Amino acid sequence: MELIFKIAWRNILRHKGKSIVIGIILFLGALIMTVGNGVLSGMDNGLRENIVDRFTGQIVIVSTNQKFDSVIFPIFGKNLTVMSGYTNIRSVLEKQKDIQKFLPVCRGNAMILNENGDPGFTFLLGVNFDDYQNMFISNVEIVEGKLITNGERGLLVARKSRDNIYDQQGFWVYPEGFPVVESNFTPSARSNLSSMTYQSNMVFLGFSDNNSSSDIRCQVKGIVQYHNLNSLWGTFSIVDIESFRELFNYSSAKDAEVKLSTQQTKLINATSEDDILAQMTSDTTADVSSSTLSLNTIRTETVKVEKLDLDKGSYNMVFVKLKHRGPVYENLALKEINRALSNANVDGRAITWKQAAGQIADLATIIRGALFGFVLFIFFVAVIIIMNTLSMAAMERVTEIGMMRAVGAKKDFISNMFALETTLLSVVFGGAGIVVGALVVWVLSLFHITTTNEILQLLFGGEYFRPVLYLRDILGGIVQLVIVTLIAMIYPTRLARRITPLEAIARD
Amino acid sequence: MKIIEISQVTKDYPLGETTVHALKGVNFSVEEGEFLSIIGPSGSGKTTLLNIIGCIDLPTNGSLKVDGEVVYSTLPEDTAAFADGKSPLPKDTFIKPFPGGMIFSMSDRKITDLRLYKIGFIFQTFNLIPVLDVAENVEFPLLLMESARKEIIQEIGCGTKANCNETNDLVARKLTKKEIRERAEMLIEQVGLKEYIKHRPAELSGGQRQRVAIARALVTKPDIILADEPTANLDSQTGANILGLMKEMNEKEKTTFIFSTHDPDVLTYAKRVDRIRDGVMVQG
Repeated sequence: MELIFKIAWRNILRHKGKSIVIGIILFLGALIMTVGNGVLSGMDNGLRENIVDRFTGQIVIVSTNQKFDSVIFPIFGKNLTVMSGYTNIRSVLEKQKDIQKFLPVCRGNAMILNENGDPGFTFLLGVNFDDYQNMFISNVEIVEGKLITNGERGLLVARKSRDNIYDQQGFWVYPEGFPVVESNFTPSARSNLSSMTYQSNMVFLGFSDNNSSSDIRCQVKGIVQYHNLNSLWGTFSIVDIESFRELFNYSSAKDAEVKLSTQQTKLINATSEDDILAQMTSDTTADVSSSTLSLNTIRTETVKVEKLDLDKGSYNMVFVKLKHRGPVYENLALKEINRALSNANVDGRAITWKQAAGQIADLATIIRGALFGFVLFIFFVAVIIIMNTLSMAAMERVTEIGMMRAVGAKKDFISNMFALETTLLSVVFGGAGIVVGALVVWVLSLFHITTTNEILQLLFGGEYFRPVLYLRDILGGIVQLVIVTLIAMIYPTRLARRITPLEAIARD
Repeated sequence: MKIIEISQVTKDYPLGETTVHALKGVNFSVEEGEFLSIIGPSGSGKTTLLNIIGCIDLPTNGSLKVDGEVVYSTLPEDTAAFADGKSPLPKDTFIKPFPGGMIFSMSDRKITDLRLYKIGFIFQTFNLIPVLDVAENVEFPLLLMESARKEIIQEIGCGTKANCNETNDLVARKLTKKEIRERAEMLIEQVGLKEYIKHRPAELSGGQRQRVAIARALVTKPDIILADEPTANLDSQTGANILGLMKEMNEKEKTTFIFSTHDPDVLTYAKRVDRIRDGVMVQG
């Protein structure tokens, strides 16, 4: 081995030109690969942090009747199918050992009404806001006004959504009880101050699955923005869950609190007109107690409303965060949750966050694929150039190799010598490429490069570029380098092995 | 004992649409310890014959035996037993069909070992490894031997000094780096290159390179040394020294020397001179 090493190393130094050509290719390939891996890891991290950690969790539960999976940004803003019996779903999820926490939500697309009748739409997220902030690491930040807390009802308008509302509807939304902050005006709003109209409440029209519609007026409590990836999530305004349910005709927690009398139950359950008539006739004898209007009763009912079990109402999605991470683990957990939901016969089906995020995740996958393809292309070119250069080196050394064979070197000796030469180049130059690549990734992460471009934000995995290298990326890089080296040396090594002593003599 | 036996050997080389018949049925044998010179005009087949004897090239037809072992044969007497399945094929050999019969041959691996352990070459040109210095070039075959020592001990069944001759002793006994270097230095001194021991081939003259090649051929104490015009590039004094060294080895260690040469000085050292013309041995 020492002999082979000595010959291989000296051959590298002897054929400096070729060694440098191969070395530069290996260096650049390893550098690009390392930086590419850093970008991909950063992108993965960013997407995870911005989508999984701050918006969807790893798994999303939807109704078994939900027809499409891209529930976050559905095509044409279609509304989602309501899940029935959320409390049953909750009991199943609570028993799952892999689930860290979960949050039921409603997502819908509501029409904004204004005095002129100009139509406008906005995405609404109906949540218990305290739970939402707890689940998603205080993802929502206040810009103006205040957040809604302790089950308070109201609307938090996303800043980006407010800008859109102004552009489409012509009024400026500000939080009730707070001054208008002119410094937050968009340039078009600022140029139009004289004719500006202001609103601290908004009227929405919601459409239910059964084609009924209802409208509600919501008090604007605050203008908010999302901590990360605001340009993407900024189209979602947040409304308290009960208001959402009223808007989209979902059954609300308040509905669930209503106790029907025996006659009312019979009336609902009546199956023929005669039955209904009979029930209505008997109902005329019912008393209306004067006590129902007493101040004491009103106070008691108010307390009842405040203590509503919100989970008794309807939701259309549940965001789930798991205890651990990793594609294999998440896949197994998904299967287990689906099995449990199915066994319990509840109206829930688990999908991945990528399925839920739909086109966003697809776009991220495409960008990732393109980057990976580019790295592969670089490797392909590197393999071809290295293979050619080594093949030329083999042919130039026919005399030397043939003589070695003549005095007793076996074919294995020749192939080991070639392999070692290529390996040494790979280790020295490829290793340098990986080290420099790691430094570049580190330096790039220090620059804190930011972007407002939504496509770039997906590439960056957030609003700023923060590539990161893990040990697995470096090990992956080494494996890629080894593969390139092995592929590149196959043909030249075979060529060198085929050289016979006779060829050496004949050439002389 | 016959160390080389060649029977009915032909060698054809295709040259475009024609075929050059370099050897035309050569029968030839060499006894152990001979100092033999093959002479003949250019193109008579001297080098081809040496290449075949040295297992660098294989015959088109005929049989080649080295040290009693068949290296390559198309003759029915060598192939029939194996072709019929009456005898098992020795390790690292094969038999395959051939127009008009069968070919028996050692594997490339075994032939390479044969070259390493039994045969030393001195080529017409010097063929040194350019990245190794003089000492390292001379050591090269010994280092190859060391790297395959265990394998060859199993192969030749020569595990103890008692059942090994001196040549095989180099194989059987693990040589230290110091011993290898000492043996190389001794031969370098004998070929008169002591002061060039650290020089690379590019820093040597043609004659000096040839002397390195001679030292390299002698370093493993092979049973047979083949030399194609060994003194062609040497001055008469150096040539005489080298031939003296070879003669000494031949006498002391019974090393067999086979030369092809035009040099009348070499012929004076030869115990036997064979002549080849147009691919046929004309004088025994």
